[in-house]
Amino acid sequence: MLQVQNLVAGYGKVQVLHQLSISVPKGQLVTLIGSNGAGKTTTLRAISGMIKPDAGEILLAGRNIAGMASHEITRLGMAHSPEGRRVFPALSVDDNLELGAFPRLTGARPKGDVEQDRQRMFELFPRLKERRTQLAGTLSGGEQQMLAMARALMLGPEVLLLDEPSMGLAPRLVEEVFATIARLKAAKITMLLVEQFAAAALDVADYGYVLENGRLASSGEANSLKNDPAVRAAYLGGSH
Amino acid sequence: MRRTGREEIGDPVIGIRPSLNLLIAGHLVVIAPFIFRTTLASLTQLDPALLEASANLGASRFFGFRRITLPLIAPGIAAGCFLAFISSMDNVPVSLFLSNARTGMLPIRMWGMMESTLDVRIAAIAGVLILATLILMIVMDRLTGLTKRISG
Repeated sequence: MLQVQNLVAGYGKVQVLHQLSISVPKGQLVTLIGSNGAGKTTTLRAISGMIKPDAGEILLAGRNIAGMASHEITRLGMAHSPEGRRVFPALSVDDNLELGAFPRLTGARPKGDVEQDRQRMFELFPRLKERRTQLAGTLSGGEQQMLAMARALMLGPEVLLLDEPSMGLAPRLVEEVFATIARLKAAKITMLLVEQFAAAALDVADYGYVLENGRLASSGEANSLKNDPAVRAAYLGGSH
Repeated sequence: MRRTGREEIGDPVIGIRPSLNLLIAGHLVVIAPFIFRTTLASLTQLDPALLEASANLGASRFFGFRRITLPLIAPGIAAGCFLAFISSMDNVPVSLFLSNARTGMLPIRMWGMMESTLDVRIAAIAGVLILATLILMIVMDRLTGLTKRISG
């Protein structure tokens, strides 16, 4: 569904990604792990068009989207739940969700049944239903993360990019977020998950890529990566 | 044209005759910095993440400009227009040199009145000007909310 081939990207003269290639098959959950500054967020930003790749191809359902404007990529079905959640604090939960469906409401994407999808989000994220009319800024961190994911899903995406959903959350909430991601996976949503919390990410994912200084350090089935001694030592907190 | 040393105001200067267009051009030069500065100030305060978010949710660049950038910098543009209006309204030097008999500018007229027939009309105009400025100031404050921001 999503294929990144030899992607080179960075900020100005600083090159962050060096010939990165990853692949996200339809209906699968692929995770990209790595330490701070490895280029995880940059990868997602390049995929969703927020920075222009310097070289390489990004194929969404076979179509090269590298270099396209952000809003065009979104209209082709790439939903991005950004780092740090970035919900609109002064808007209600309902309005945030509606903005997620914006390209459908303007006819840039097939409309479908927006109201039904909203109800589906409330089934996936029951907490949001209780807080429908509340301003997003008054939600807890965990609830805001749920809202950010639900907003991205309102696009009716082909691929969902999740950037550090566990960032800044209490351990109990992190568990909840990962339980939600597992539910999305069960619903056959194609996802690329970027996480620093490698153990939890590999637990839910089908396949994993380990990124180091903008290059692939290793990759493989999530289960085998979890048992890889080098990965364990570097990212999973030693040998337990 | 040969200079005689006895040119008068209204005579062509460097081959350009005072006209309404020239007057407008002169005033534009004087007021442009006011609008540039205030607009620039509100543009630097604009959070770029908002535009990124709008593009990310599928809004085109023009849509983002129309629905996000413009509304957010509107108070800055309005403040600039207010300053520009005031400075253009009571500008004497530019008006004096670039206006001709057909384009009677208020400050020039007032000046003329004061020199020839000083009467109550001058006081009336001045009164109206002060009142109009006061009303504009109140309107501007309501729009940009400076008092609200200062008092927290």
